[in-house]
Amino acid sequence: MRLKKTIPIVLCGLLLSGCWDKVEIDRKIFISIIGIDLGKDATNDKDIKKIKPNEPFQERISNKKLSIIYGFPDISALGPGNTGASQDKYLSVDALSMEDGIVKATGKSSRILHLGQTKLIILNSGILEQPETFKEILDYLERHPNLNKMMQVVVTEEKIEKLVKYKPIMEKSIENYLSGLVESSNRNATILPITLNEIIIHLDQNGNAIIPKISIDKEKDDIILSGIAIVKAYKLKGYLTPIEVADLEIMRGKIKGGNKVIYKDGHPIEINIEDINRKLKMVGDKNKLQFNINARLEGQLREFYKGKEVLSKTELNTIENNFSESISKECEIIAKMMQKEFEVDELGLRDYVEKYKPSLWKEIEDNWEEVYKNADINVNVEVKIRRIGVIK
Amino acid sequence: MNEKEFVGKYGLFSTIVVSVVGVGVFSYPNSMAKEVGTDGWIVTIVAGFICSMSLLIIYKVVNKNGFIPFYNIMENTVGKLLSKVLALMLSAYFIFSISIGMRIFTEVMKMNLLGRTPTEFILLVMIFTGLYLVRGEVSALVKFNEISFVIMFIPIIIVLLFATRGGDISNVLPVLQHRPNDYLNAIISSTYTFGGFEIAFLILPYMKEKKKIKKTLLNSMIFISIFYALVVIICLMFFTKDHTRQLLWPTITLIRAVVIPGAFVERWEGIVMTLWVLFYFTTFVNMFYFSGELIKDVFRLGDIKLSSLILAPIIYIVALYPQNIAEVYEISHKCTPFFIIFSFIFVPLILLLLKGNRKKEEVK
Repeated sequence: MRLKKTIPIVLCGLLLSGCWDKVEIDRKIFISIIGIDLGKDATNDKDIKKIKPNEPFQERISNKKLSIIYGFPDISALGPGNTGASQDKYLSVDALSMEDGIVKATGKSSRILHLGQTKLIILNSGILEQPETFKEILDYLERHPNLNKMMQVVVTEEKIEKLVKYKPIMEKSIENYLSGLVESSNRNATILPITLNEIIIHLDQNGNAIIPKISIDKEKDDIILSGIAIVKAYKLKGYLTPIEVADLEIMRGKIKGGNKVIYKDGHPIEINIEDINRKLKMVGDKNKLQFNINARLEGQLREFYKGKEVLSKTELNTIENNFSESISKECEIIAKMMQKEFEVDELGLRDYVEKYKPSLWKEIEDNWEEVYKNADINVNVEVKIRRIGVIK
Repeated sequence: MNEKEFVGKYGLFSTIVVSVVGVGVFSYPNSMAKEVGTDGWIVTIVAGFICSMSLLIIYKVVNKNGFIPFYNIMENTVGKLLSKVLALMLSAYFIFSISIGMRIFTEVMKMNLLGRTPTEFILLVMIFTGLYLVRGEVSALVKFNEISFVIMFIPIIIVLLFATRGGDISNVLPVLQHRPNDYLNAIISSTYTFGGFEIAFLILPYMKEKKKIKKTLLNSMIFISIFYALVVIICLMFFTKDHTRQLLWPTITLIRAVVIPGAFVERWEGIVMTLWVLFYFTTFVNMFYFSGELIKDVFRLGDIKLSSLILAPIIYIVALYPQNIAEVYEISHKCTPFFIIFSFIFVPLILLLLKGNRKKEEVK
């Protein structure tokens, strides 16, 4: 009887103690930031193309296509007595591919790399110039089961090494700084945060995407978010400046905050955008489409100038009209630019036709590019100033 | 006989729901998006309706035969030899579907939670745990189902509601833009995910209140249809139909991508992933029990403890047979249609229609 009771206990000890996936937490490093730069051999892929898939020792060909930097917080600096985030450390490798990068980085480190906590990916704009390389990287990011799909993605024209080593004033590490910047997007319309998930979805839909761009302000040595990169068919098509981003946001109906300014008699008049209501309408047939974007912005007057009262219906009306006209014109120019210059539809027009006019969509699906290029886009923005602050 | 009737309304409801909802839900939005784009949820509801009809036929069969166990119904209706053949085929279907499900489940686990644990070990642990529960007979099984229903669905529905935050409901548009042929195919493949409600054959004879069965059966099917439709809609909202087509298991990727604002834990989906264990395990145990019961009756083994022990190695072997995940889905796509037609339509109908003839013979 006693034996019967003890055997299971012994067996439990033997069988349940082993665990294949056990990694002590202090043996891990949590990668918080991945920077991907073009490597030395980025443009030189002649040798690679010659290789047949069934040749031996293919790993031997050392093609350093990518240069990857993994940033991770120094956990040993955290502990009792130390508060807040710790400084980041960096591991940089030259690699053939993303997976090769992980292998090489593991070879360089005493700990196991964990990608599940990654918050930020920085792509060098060079990557976007090479659609084939960009597709390889994207496939890796999509296929990886543990990668955080909600991380932010940014593009930069700088060398990534320079960026990650930048010390922001407010935060100890760059990914905290950038994620803070992105979070403030509901106060600043010129910032347009994009997650990896959104990029993957957009690229799956039509090969186009927009990715925010960061750069270093050379004079003041600051990192700034400076507009967005437009990707068409997995290739960089161009950049929009921050002001243009705000207009794009208005046309997409996604703006969450931010300011707009007009000058009147040489004085700036500022309003703060609080709410937007955008309606998209479409008329026409498969030969010629006309899109009407009607956006209504609601805002608050922030700055006028002393000595003049604004608390009158006519005065407010003229200001509103000035704003409306100015923003409408701006938006139309941006829309034209997107249409003619970038040939990218980021206003959601394609989505709209596909969702709400399915029968028309079937007719124009195959030559949407052409139809989009020839379509008329009218933007009509109406600004309403609801509040004027606490003085007349 | 009275002490044998111990299953309440909730027991029946939860048993059917947890048996049906299994690993199918992982890849379901993907197959729907592939076949009918944004109309997956409509197809789901239609398929749910068709399966409810099949379930009602099962109820009629059991009702006409006076709530006797399934194998006795078959013997009474089609005779001894044929009932043996039917029972063997049915149990082959159950074993096949739980083995394939087991393999898919293991692959998902290996991908997301237990990267280095050997496949064989996960299989063995699952089979042994299932075996232990099956040895506890129907009463233990139903109790287990009742408890797991709560544990499974309350957290999952909360998580899915959070998932709606990042989505755009207009991604579900446009509606009804495909050819009728596509819908037909989609409805057929959608019914595959409803496999498992045949468990009603096993449970119905043990029911306490016979009057309310019909309503409970329908309720459970409605619940399943709504749950599936919800999963499809949320995946579409979050990933759009173009990206859902690319994902092997959209539901799991969705759970991983959900961000709860202001939550004090980040990357908490490890907890949710463990919930999937229950999703598969309940399907597995119920089907395992049913096939064990059938094998027991066919070979007159007298006890389910023995027959389930015989089945365990078969499940292990079938689950390990496919070389990779692509082969798993290929095999499953080849065999499932045949099995589904057999167990959803053929068996219930034959039992319903042939019944009269047999009785006349007996009367003579």
